[in-house]
Amino acid sequence: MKRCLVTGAAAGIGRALALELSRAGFFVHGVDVDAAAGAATASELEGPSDFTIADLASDGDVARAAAELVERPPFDWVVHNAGINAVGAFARSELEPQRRVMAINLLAPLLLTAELLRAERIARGGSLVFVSSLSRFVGYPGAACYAASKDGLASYARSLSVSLAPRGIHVLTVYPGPTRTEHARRHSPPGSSEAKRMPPEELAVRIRRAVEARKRVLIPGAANRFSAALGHVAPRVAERAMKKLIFDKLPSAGPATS
Amino acid sequence: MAATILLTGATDGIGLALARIWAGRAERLVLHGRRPIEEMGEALFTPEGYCRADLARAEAPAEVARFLEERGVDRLDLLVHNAGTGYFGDTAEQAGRSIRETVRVNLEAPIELTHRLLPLLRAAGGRVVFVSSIAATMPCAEYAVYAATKAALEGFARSLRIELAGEVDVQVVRPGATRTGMHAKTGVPPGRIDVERFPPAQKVAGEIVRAIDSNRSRTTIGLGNKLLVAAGRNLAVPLDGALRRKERRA
Ligand SMILES: NC(=O)c1ccc[n+]([C@@H]2O[C@H](COP(=O)([O-])OP(=O)(O)OC[C@H]3O[C@@H](n4cnc5c(N)ncnc54)[C@H](OP(=O)(O)O)[C@@H]3O)[C@@H](O)[C@H]2O)c1
Repeated sequence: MKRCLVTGAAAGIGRALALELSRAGFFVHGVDVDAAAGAATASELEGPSDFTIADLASDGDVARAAAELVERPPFDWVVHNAGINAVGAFARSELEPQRRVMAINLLAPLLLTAELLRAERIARGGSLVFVSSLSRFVGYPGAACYAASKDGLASYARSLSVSLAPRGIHVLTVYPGPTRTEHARRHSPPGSSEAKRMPPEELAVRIRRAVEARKRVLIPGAANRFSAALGHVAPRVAERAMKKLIFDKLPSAGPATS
Repeated sequence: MAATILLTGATDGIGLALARIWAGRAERLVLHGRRPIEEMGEALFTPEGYCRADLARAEAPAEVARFLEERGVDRLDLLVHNAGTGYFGDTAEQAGRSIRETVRVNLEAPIELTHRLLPLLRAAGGRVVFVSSIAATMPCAEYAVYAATKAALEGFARSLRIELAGEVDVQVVRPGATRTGMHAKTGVPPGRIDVERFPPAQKVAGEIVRAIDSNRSRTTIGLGNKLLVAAGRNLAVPLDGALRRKERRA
């Protein structure tokens, strides 16, 4: 039985992926901070699974999770999906939530990947998947630390796609745009439309297919591909659009008074 | 240039060269480093103008902010995040400790320091400059974490620039390979590269100063490096494919 590791598997895109890969016959090993939601997801899976409960913002938890994971047989697919956002003008934001964004979205995947590689726990010929963000192409005013973490992740994935080639490990970077999850709902300006966001189940299918085809880049959906292309050829235009669509609508935007 | 400047990582390499350029020009120059001041032989480093803080420690940004406050610095025209560190070698060999330190020094420290010093930058209508690297724009098989922190720094700068438009300027400068001690410090094996062939830090620092004056949002230093960045950005598919083939043969 093929084995996959999915971080942030209790909800959102991670949960959809866990369900999708379970249906496809994988043993699913999830990692999540939310034990109750993790158990709920596990009970919905069609096949065998295991869950590691860990707060990926905590150094101690990451070390403990890594120690647990390297005791298991190698994983065929490793999906770094766990991510959080903390939206608001940087000047007015608190530092602590921004630190958590960086720790969960960037530092934890770097640490876990190094540990798994060191212990040879990513199978030869296996796949390593990083869930970055469309913000890589268009910027994300109002979530500067989130944008930073996702750019860092995409860069890391690109370097590994080269350095792991001799081990036959394939690397896919996913750049999702707006997705219909709790996470997106919490962090979008009021009034933004649900319908335009991609359902996580659809994204999960696309990710599975992209890994099976050993693609290196997945920008899911025509609208997102258009935005990415625009961001590439006309970054200033994309940035202005993001400012109007997101930053200017934030309640906390605008110059601070202090 | 009559201005108040704070420069991190001023004790070696590009930072030291920048400090020497600004020493005669700035109204007030505050230098930062992790070394004890006694190690710094130059008159450039004075107890009033040198702030010692190891950026690998979480408290460092607060300490730097306090240093400025205690000396009555209440406005900053220019904040240059130049301090940087890294690790050269197989991703699987880089210890967790080293990964954390690279992320802390190259990414979290500049973000936090920017956050704490924003009021001073605002007061002066100032500018914050992030020293990135061409590594941010291409695959770096042997320093993946370093490259990731630089790409993240650029992503942060890009969004912050939009947020602070009209109040504080945000710039990225990207040097390429430069003749400094960094390569040895980060563990590049002697003989792997010929550091002597890289442009000297003074030259790169001069170009960085010009780039800052130009007010462009992103500047790659040097023509050869500009070409590399263009290839890294626009020819990713053939470039990465060629690098993978090379890696498989090695
Ligand atoms: N050299 C290159 O080829 C190259 C290429 C592209 C980009 N860059 C970037 O340019 C910047 C300067 O690099 P460089 O070549 O001048 O390197 P360098 O000669 O090693 O100087 C780096 C400076 O940062 C300081 N620093 C390092 N870790 C620190 C810490 N934990 N706390 C406080 N200060 C710390 C160093 O202090 P010590 O003197 O105590 O070591 C030194 O002052 C870096 O951001 C680097 O990433 C360099």
